[in-house]
Amino acid sequence: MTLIELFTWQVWDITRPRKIAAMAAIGFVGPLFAIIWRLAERGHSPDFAYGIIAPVAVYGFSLVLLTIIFASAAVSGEMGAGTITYILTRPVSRVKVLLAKWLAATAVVSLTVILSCAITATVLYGPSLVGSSALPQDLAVIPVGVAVYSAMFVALSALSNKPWLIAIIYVFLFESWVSLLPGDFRNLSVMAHLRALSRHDPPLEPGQAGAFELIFGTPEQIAVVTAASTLILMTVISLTVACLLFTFREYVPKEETT
Amino acid sequence: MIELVGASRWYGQVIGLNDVTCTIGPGITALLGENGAGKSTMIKMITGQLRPTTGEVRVFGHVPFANRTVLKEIGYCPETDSYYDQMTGRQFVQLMARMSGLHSKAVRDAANSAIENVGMAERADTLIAGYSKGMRQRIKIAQALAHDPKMLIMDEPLNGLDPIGRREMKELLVRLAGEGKTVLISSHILHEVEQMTHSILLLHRGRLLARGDIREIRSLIDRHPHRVRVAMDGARQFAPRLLELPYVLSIQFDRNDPQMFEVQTTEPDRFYSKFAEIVLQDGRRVEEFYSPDNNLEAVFKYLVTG
Repeated sequence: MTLIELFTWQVWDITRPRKIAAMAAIGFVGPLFAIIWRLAERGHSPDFAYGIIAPVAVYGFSLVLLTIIFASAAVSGEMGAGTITYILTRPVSRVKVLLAKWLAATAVVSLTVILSCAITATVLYGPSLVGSSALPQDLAVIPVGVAVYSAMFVALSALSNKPWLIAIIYVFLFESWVSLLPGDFRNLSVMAHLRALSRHDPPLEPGQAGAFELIFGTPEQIAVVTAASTLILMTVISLTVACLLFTFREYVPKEETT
Repeated sequence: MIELVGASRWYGQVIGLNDVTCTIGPGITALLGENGAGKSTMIKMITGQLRPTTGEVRVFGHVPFANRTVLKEIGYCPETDSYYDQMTGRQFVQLMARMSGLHSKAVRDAANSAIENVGMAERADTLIAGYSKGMRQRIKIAQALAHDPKMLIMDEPLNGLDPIGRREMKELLVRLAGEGKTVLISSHILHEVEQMTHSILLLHRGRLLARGDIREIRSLIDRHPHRVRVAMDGARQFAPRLLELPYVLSIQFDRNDPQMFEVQTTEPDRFYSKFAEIVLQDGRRVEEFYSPDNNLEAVFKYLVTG
């Protein structure tokens, strides 16, 4: 069975109606914030609103949460459903299966988040979106972010029965606070590297800069080249670990161990 | 074709399979044992899902764990009642056939043929989520057959099937074995596999307790007194007639149910035919007739205690 066939099957599996509904709900958070912002507008520029909403709602919520849901189910989801038996007893390359799952999660989540980001920008900028430079940059960086997170969560999925728990701790606890830690801990945060690739620096007044930095850290500390190479390295390492685990580990659903 | 040499498997502190050595060749072999005896563990080692902790497992001369050369030749029907529910039966069988290495052009015909073999042709295009347990079981068997493997490993294949379904599946498996395939069937129901094969492997608490011809094991069992429980009208008048038979050792009436009594016999097969004859002669109606010893638990008891 080819990688394309496996990929098609996985995309079909991910895009079932119930899952699409979940995707739409999570992806709608960015546009929802944008609509609220527009309704309660107090003279801030669209750049300011987008600079806040994109990193928080689109990257910090929709992107990571959708990736957790779809990528961390890659192996553990099959284990939970007991269907992993069908995959592991077939003469199909386990590496191909895992890569297909990663690619499918990356493709579907990227499309959803890109759509979410585009709608958010459209709501905020209106007709002036055409001249804005923020959106094109995000459209390029979102798939990169999804690919890195997906690779990490697929690896977690091949390692643990509850990968989503570790993923949530990493994303919503570690990454939220790492920028406040001393030293180079921030280099272990995927989001910090993504922010270095796609800068969202809203035009701030002097009094707001401190608070903004407290929440988002200072992404300019990481060079674009360093960020890009780190993310590529993280993806490659995660996928290698995932493939090795999935090839050599034994996976037997719990009720079948005797 | 299947060879286990001193194969053991531990799950932490618990042993799933304990030092099993055996060879399984073409034809049907029944893997018998109670729940937790180690049947599924042995099957998982054969189908390349688990490695033995110690010892060796070889299938077609190869180590089966994640071995695509071996898995290509195996059709596996797992015990688990898990499916891709959002697929139709036909889509599921086609996907499994394709994953088993069948060429994309051959998949449709192969799946159709397997679906027809298990009697699911008319219902194959509805979602698995809407199937009854028996239908799910049939489609699970179909996915194991679709790529025409040399070896079939069926873990409790008759579970959930109605009597007609059971008969059809038994006939199908016997036919496939007749075509030269190696068929390994696990079950915890002795009489069910007896109708398909005489070649058995008997597992008990992870150990291979007996192997060979089931008739030999049966004769071993039959040397011991066999209990038969009967419930019928006029039990107190009828039962003494059975004591006249030389192979009936005793009769004991149930204290709570005046219609029920228990017979101890040394020759169960002769007793069964004679009992039917007497009942027909007297024109009596039998409400219940079964042997508490005619199950695997009793076989184990006899084999373990001697």
